[in-house]
Amino acid sequence: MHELLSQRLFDEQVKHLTPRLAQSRGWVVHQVSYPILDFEFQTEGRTPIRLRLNCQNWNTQPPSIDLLDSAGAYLQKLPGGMSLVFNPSAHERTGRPFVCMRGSLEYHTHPSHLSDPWEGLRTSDNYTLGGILTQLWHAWQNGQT
Amino acid sequence: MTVADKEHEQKGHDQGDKVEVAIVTTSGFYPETGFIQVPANQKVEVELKKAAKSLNLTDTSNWVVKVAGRTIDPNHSYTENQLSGEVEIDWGPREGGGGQRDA
Repeated sequence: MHELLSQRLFDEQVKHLTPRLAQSRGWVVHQVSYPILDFEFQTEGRTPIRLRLNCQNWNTQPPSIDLLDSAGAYLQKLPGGMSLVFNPSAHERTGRPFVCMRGSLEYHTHPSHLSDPWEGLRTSDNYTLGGILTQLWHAWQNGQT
Repeated sequence: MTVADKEHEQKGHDQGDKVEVAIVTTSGFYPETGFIQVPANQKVEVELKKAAKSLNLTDTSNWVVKVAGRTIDPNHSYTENQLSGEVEIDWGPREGGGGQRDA
């Protein structure tokens, strides 16, 4: 997709990721500027997790998602009790733990999931940028404390 | 009990039968600002359908409905879901597929 079109779609989808939404959900907004979405999930009693979505070429391809600590450093090891969506093994491209869920570039480019293409998902309300963030937030919430 | 007492009691009862609802999604809020007053015995799904229409949501079959982190049943009323007062409903797609440890 042309970069201007990608940015326009990005801007259209992130305009509702407002401070009111973040406050309601306990999200910390670190950056929202094309092509980066950088959010942190927080709640009492849980280790926060920060996710940086690189949305280059959105939505021809899904975002590449980095798992970070609160300071912005790559997580080399996941906190305990995480949902299966957060895969603790090293992704062959990044060598780090990764998001193993439909809607992440790391999932759709993993050899185990090449038969599950992004193309059929990208226009669904479940897989807008907000939808992907929400799914990840639910996955994080569903993990054990 | 006086007539005034009965009117006061009725007013209080009526107020107790209402809840104030706001629906939170990543496509926007419904209503856009503040809360909307609805009967407490109304099914939650009624306002969700209005929100979907207002926010141009077309594919919500997989979405989960939560209030203060607790999953509620949209086919039940606010009262049946033990909700009262101001109710902020969080609505969005549930945790998605993937996640195999061999991947």
